[in-house]
Amino acid sequence: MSALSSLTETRAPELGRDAGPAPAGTTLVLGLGNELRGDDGIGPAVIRALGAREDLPSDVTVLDGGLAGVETVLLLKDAARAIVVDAAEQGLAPGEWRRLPVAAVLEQTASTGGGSWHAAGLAQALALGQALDTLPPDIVVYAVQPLRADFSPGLSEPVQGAIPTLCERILSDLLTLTA
Amino acid sequence: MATPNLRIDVHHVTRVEGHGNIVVDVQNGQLKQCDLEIVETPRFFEAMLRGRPYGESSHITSRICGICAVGHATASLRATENALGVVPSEQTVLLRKLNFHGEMLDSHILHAYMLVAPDLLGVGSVIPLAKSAPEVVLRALRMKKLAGDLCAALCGRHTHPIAMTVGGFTHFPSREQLGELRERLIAMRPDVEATVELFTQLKLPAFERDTEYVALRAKGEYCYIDGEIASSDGGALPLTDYRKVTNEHLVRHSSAKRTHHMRESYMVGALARFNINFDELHPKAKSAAAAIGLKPKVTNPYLNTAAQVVEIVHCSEDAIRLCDVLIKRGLTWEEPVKPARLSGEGVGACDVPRGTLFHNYVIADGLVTGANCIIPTGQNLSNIEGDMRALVPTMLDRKPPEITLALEMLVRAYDPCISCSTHMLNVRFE
Repeated sequence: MSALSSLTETRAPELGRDAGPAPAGTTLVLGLGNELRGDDGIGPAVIRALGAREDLPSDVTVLDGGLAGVETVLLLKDAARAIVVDAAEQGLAPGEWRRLPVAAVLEQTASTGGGSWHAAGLAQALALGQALDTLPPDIVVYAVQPLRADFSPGLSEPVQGAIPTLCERILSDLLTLTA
Repeated sequence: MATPNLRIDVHHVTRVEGHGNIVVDVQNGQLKQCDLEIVETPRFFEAMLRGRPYGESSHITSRICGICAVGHATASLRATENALGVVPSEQTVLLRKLNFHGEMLDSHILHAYMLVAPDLLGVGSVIPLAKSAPEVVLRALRMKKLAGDLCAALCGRHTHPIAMTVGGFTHFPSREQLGELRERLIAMRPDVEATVELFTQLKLPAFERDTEYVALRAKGEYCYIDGEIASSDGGALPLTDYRKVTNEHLVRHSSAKRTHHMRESYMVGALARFNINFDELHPKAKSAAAAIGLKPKVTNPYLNTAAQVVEIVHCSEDAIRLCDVLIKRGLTWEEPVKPARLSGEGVGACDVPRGTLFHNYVIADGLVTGANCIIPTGQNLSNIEGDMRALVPTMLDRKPPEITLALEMLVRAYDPCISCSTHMLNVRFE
């Protein structure tokens, strides 16, 4: 969980062994989060759900970024377009989500001061990517409100329940983006 | 003209891990107070270990730190193994050394590039650095990613390793993975060379203060795991005598304990290791030291970051060597070595990125009944204060913001992990 008011994402390059940046010029859907921390696992859960869809456009790469932290910059660097899914404390009802242009996330990061590079998360990775001028031109963030992000695996019912509509909306984005 | 009265109060120093304050009080040109206050809450890891099965110790104590998780896990395993009569296999020792290099690289790259370089390039953080010199920041990210991938291949993941266990590993990288890591480490050489080149150009502050340097030492290697405790003031002690070196004591302004050995304070970390183990550095690391202008004994604490850069060269070259050795001898699936007994006491020690780390456990019938962990940053705190007390009087003709920056850079040079020691930095001029 990281994107908005919370900057608490654990720092760690805990990617899947073969996880690497998407091939240059493709569309990347990147799910972030720690599956051992309750609803923080929404990013990886959406990636699994999308990966199982037969109507996923063939030129789209879906990637479980885990706790990529600041290294998210490298995962996003070569994509032409990107969609990022992460849990974020936004004061909404659990399971509610917002589709945010990256500018909104960057603005929020600047206003909250950034946080520590020892524990960098998505917000800092996006700010660093912007400074490096390596962010894909087209990038949106799906920020999902968690019910709980405590020390236990598994999504809460409202967050689990958000996955189908979230996937539909992301697929509609992908069809528009790849059209 | 000297400033007769000066009050500095940096309430939480930035670009260090954890929370600490710098408090300086000069009255009528006399230094009255010069403290590094540690204001974090104690974390009670030692108490958490009590009553837990010995096999959980490394998993619990790796949570002390998200940066030195492999270091804590390794020191913990060595303490348990020494307590229970476990002698790890040659393959385990090689894998642990390779894993350790991954963490050392990750931590040193973060510190040198993200935390120290902005000071030297006159910017406030890595974000403006990314705008003015994107190739420098992208290089750091590339190198960091490889270091993290190395750890993930060996111990399942970097932060809080899962495959390291008492007596060995529960997972092994494939020959192909080792070969791929080796190729990537070789491909990283130009980035390592560029890092050395960068630090030959950057000017670190001039300040000399001789102190005692303490590091682990072992014959025939640049020691990070096991060995004996060596002092630059002469002599060495076995790990079991660690308390004779650390002599922990409390001070009023700090929630972290302080240490002293032969002098009022001593320094641990990359510079201490460089001073004590220079002869064992990889030849390329020695060449890097010569290029940067480092020759033991170095007594400028600001050069700790330069010593870290020398270690980046050493660790990347030694990691290539270890990959070669492991590939040549062939990796075999080994069951972890079983304990010879279920009760005993043991000390484990590692030189982690920030210095010498000790874990000491008492185990009875397979359960931990007593634990003591002494963290590098805690050992450096008194020495940082000694540097501050020597530095401030030489700077009283400067403007307070300049003095504050010099003090913050000094603290950052030590790469303190205040959360680990229990505890960050806030400069307050009083």
